Amino acid sequence: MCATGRLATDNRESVATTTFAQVIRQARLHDEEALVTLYQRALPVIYRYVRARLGHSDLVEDIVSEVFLVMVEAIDDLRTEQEAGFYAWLLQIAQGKISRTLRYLAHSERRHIPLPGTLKSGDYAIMELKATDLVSNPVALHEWRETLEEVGLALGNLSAEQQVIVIGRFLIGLKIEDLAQALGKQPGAVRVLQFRALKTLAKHLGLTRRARRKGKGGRA
Amino acid sequence: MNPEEYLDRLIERREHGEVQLPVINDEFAASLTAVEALAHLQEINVPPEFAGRLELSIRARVHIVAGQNGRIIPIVNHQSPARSHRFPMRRVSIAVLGIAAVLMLACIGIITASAHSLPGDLLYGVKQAEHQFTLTLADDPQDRASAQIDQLRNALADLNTVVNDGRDDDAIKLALKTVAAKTNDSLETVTALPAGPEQKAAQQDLDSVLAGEEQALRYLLDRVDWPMRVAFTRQLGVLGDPVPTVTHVMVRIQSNGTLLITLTGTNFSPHAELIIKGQPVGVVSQSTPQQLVAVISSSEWSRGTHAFGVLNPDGTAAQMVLNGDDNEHPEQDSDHNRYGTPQPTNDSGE
Repeated sequence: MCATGRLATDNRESVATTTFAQVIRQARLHDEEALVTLYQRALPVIYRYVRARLGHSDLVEDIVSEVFLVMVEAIDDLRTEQEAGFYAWLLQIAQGKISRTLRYLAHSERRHIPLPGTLKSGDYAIMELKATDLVSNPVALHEWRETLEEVGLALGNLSAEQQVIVIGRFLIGLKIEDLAQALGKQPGAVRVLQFRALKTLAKHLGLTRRARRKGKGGRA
Repeated sequence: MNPEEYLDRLIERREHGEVQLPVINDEFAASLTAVEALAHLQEINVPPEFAGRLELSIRARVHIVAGQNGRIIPIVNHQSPARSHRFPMRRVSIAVLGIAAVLMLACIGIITASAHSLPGDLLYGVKQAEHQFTLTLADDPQDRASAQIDQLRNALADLNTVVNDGRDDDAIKLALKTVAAKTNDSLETVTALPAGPEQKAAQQDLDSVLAGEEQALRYLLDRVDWPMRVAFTRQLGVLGDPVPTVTHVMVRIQSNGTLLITLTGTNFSPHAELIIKGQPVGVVSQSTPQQLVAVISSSEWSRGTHAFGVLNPDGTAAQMVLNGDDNEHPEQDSDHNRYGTPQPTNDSGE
């Protein structure tokens, strides 16, 4: 599977006629269409990120809604006019809400973050599937769900900054340089964070061991 | 080149489909596989009905936020240049102006606070009055239509909030009533606009809001209790959805002591359920789009007023309430409708 080839965002061309900075400036004036444009552009990314981290669809919708309502109310606080900065800001809002939700769930002993193989219902997963061919293939659907849950849990093991970099880089398709500017770091420092983040992800996804076993098997 | 740069180069080459560099060790291979695993997140699709609902809420919130910012009125220091012998007079004027300013600020505060109010809140009446005032001030029919549509959007956002906040039925009822009224007003106002591009634009805007209303009502059906479900269904019917209605109820005692209940109406779906007093009862023995026949045991029957309802699998519902005086003693094996003139009731209290 060539994963990275599919990593462009869904709506990147939706703001083609005007620059991102102009949309941000209009949004700061509480221009309805500008805010809705930002929402439409960021929704798939934020939804996928929250969905991966929480798994539980009811909570996902609540939190995604809260993130965007905060965006409307706090757009004045956004200092950057860069796309990467905007996404970093939204992801930070989402991270705060996810952390609070996880704490609350842990506290109330009602935490039902799905462990691998314990997803509550297939209905939501099917509804959310883009690759409709999976719906008719139960084995592939099951594998897709498991991978999704593993990725979500593995993401939780990254630092907040690493999560922003990984999501920015591989879900939004941002460049290292743009992320560096958004996070106020040197590109080299972002590459180091990316390197560590992927290593941690691989470890939590069990890929390192698998790769080693595969390597040994290959040599044997 | 350090490992971090090398890995980034590997990733970029894969992204752009360029000639691959050698993967020098297992850790690099695992990191690249992790990137591929992340790609699975791209396969999560946002449910369109959720996206539509949220956009509606965002638009409503933008209006509230923009409205609040627009209402900030700078307080100007009106200092008269004439400091003079007219001091007592001036003092009175200052006092009057001071009181007026305090009253004005109080009004602004109340209006600002009312923008956040919801059905059932103390200030909701102020919000409604403010909406009415806005409509009265709109001279241009186009502006009026636009204001009506905005208010419908706002009413829908309020309805969504009161249901999701778990407020009581009175609040939900009021929110739904407001949505129903704003829907009618918007339809009338847009229809009355003179034909032309402006009317077409307003109609498109309204169509989009009405589509959102339908989605919101259907989404909220499962989050409200039975009486509200019936009322929400009725509003869906107003929007043109094929929803169930109950027009006639017949109850007969069978020779084995069970009761045979026949509901007549429209748009009953296969697998529709019989609901009595808000609870599913009995066994449905026959179901057509116009008729539902169910058998219930005598123990499920009690004295008093009975609300006979039908619940379709899609969550829409309808019911008819029969007066307790008429139905305490169902007639045995009679084809005659014992219940005089059943009264379809509106449980939303309208």
